[in-house]
Amino acid sequence: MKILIIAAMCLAGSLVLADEGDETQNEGPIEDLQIRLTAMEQINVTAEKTPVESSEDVDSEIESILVDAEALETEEAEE
Amino acid sequence: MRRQAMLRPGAWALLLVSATASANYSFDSPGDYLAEATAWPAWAQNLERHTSERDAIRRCLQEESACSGKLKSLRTVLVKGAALDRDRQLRLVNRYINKRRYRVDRRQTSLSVVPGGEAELRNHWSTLLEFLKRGGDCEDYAVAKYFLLRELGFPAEDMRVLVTYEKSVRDYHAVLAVRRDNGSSWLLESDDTIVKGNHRRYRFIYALNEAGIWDHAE
Repeated sequence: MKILIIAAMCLAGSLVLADEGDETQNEGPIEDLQIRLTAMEQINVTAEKTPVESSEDVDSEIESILVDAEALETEEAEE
Repeated sequence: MRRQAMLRPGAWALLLVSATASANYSFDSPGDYLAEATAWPAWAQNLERHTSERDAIRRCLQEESACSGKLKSLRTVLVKGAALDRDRQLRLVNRYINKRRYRVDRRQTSLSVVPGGEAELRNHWSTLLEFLKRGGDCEDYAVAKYFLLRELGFPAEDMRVLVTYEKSVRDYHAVLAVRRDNGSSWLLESDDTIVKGNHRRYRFIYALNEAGIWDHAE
């Protein structure tokens, strides 16, 4: 009988501990997500690069669209 | 040495190809997926602001007289660019956006990922129209290219704003990564180049698009 009571107590105790363990496991990934996102947020992304001559062939159609777009912006700046 | 000499020429070629491929950015790294885009409040807010601006862009596309300010040149790029093939659309968008003025973000208070709080942050995410009006720094160039290519019909799942650490300039830098039909990734740079392979000079840090956030840091 004693053995049965001790076994029941052990089982109840282990169930309680297992429950607490599950809670900790659920919180882990959320905390980890916050840490990783915060680390990303703190990165100062600032590198500046100026346009270089392209090694690709000049595409007259692309150039023509860019010239048209620029003309509209110049027009707008003058207004 | 003896073991190396035993490898067939084909095996060497395979090793070389895999070593090169691993240096390139891959959209197929499910282990790097971190969270939905909404988990980053400042980025989610930027997406919302752009959604409200899209109405103005759509109205301008339908009716030229509805265009004002930078929308006029944007309309020209979208209408005339629609007739180009995908490769040339990428070149057009890269050149058009890179013409903008570079401007360093001022330190300002933004929504933070820290729960319930705001924080003083350097990175301000601009929308396409905000960037066309005021210019911005490298992440704004990448974001503007992303939104502009979306208007040209590029799917969200094939594009990511990619933050890298670039060894040659020793600084954090953002580019737009675009997945091409053959599975390769092209990086649209702010110096007008499109890096189609050999991404060795970059260390990939994280990436964002409308759907999610990817953490590439080891």
